[in-house]
Amino acid sequence: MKCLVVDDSATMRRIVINALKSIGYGNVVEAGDGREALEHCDPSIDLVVTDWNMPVMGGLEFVRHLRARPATAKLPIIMVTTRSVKEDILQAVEAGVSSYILKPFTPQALKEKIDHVVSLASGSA
Amino acid sequence: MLTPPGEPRVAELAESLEFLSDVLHQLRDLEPTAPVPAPLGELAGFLRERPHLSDLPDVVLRAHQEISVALTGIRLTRETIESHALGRLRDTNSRLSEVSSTTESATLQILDGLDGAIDRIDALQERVATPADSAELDHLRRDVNALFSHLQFQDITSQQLRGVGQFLEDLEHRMSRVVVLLDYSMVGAPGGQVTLDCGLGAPAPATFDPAASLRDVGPRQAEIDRTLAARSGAARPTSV
Repeated sequence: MKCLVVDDSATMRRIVINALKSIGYGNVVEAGDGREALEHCDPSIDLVVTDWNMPVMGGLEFVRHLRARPATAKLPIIMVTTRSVKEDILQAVEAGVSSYILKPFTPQALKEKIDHVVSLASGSA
Repeated sequence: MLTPPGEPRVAELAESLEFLSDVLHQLRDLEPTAPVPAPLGELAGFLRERPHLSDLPDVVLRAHQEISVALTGIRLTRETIESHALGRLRDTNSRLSEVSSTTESATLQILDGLDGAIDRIDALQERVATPADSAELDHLRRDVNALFSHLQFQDITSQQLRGVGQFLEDLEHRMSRVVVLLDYSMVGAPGGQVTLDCGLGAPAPATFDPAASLRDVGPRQAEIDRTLAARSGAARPTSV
């Protein structure tokens, strides 16, 4: 499985990538914002893990772009962010995120979310 | 009653007093402990209602006293804001930025070290002879991976510091405007040109979350899971 990690923080990208590797997802590409991520988002990507607050193109807009493209309309997307206000969660769901996890997270929590969204995607395929 | 050219001058004086009174009222909106500027407004009203020349010297004297006190207060306030508050705000913001960038650099160095440790554990794992040694290395790898996760504090505290930095910038901006306003009121700019518009304009795109927090992650994630479940119809609690 190939994962795309999107976060403007270099430290967070490395932490997320390490978490993915530790739970068995070693094939990872990374991007520093939504616009850069759209360039990386080819059909080989199986899962997106994205931050919300980023310059140039934020996570929410990035997710909307992905959902608008037929090729990525059902791609599993996990939002990893610090935002926990209910309105934010609903906004993210409306934009099209498959799941949502708060920072700081554990690799185990990320694995549960990935298993869930991947099983949903498999079921809907 | 007044005779020309006295009447226009009284009207001019009343207008000036009203302007000064407005400025002091606006200042009072910013600083509720400032003196109540009621007397100037009253004097202006008095001049408009009773423009008798015989009253004018007394009115002018009272106005002069009020204005002198007000201008002295304004001058001292402006000097204090300019010489102390603005400089300190800038300095504090600069220090916060330094703390944030230093912490980020240190975190990246720690991540380099942890990556190196994982590589060594992997290399050792290929050479171990016994299952016990292998289990020990697995345990060590889990510990190192947990350290990676703990370093998420840097991203969260960095967002908190940026939130504080933005607040200080806003405060500096507002105080700079107050200093400009006080300059205008010292030299008597036309009333229409002086405002205390402290609006911050259109909000910049959010690149950080000022409410980012390390607290109560478990309960907040549980609430998020409930919200997601309510939307999808399937509860999936997350380990935290």
